[in-house]
Amino acid sequence: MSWAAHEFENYFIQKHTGARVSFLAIVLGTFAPDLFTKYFVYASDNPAKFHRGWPGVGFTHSLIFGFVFAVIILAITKSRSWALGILIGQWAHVLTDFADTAGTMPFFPFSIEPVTISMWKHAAAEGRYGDAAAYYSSLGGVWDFFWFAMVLFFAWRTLRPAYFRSVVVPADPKVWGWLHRKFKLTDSGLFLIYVGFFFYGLGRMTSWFLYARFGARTPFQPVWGGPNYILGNDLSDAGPLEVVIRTSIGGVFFALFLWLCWVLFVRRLWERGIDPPAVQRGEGLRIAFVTESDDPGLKPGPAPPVHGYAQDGPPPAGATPG
Amino acid sequence: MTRRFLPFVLALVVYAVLGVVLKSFVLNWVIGPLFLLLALDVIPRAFGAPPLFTLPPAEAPAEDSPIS
Repeated sequence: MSWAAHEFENYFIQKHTGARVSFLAIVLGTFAPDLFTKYFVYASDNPAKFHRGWPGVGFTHSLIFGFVFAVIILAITKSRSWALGILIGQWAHVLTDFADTAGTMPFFPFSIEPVTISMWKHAAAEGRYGDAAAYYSSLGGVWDFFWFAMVLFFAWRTLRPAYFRSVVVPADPKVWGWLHRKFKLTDSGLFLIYVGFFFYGLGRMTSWFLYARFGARTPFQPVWGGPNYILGNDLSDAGPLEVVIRTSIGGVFFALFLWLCWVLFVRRLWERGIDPPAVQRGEGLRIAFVTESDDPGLKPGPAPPVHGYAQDGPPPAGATPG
Repeated sequence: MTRRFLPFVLALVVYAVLGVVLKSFVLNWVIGPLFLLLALDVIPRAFGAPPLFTLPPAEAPAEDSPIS
């Protein structure tokens, strides 16, 4: 499992989706696989199997979980940007968790073969503190730092107030407006919520790394498959070829399943879905991903509404005029 | 520039120290994502002090700005 990478990824995804996807939905999507399961994982007899395998709650780390979650959100809210955010965020979590020894079952239930590159050991069997110490003694901690650096070097603009005002808020004016009205938050408070997830990842990375070095005093072993002082938690004895074959078959069936769902009802739900006023969608991948040439929020142009979240209500106290 | 980032650095130090000392599930999973909001905005205002962070005024985008 990843401890802070999931928080950093949100901003990297945000950079590539712009105003077409809700940032808060991306966050909920990346949190979703662990949100309902993590608390119970450490109490389990076989944490790795329970967390990622089947029988267990490993289906939360499959692509179909994100798909079903996104379709339910689309059906209930009609919001395309929320459905896409949930889908992309949850799928990013599944792909990130490939890296530990327990892996994930991306094409569950069509394949229950865990897919992993065994970069570091899944260490939930060590308990919560032992898990944290092991993670930040392995390449897992390096993985977190890698995503932290990726955001700082390639997506730093997403952390700026101007980006928040011109891209993030117009992508989701209703929810930011609701947060503003319900909790009487100023525009500064809303911005602190937005960058708070980045801060949260940095804070967790820092404190658990310090705990590993000076509290648990575990040896720092950033080697492939480390740390070496604990046992591995591989969920499958299958060889690489077997994994590729089973996963490929599962992938084909999963793709067919998605197509069938699209034809039967998802397309209807999508077509009756609605977008925020500022969003224009293209075809294919352009429904979600943007380039600087086709996103008005990313290229020079007329100033967008500064307080888009205030569309349904008065400007927040302390807000500055645009 | 330094003054603008100082509250964030202080909040990070406080969060990291609390994290190492308490190792709390609540701090880690419940308060964590909202810690910045609580530390820099909600708690100071609850005590009648000004928030430790306020957004700079919005400016009209420069022609060569990558972000409008």
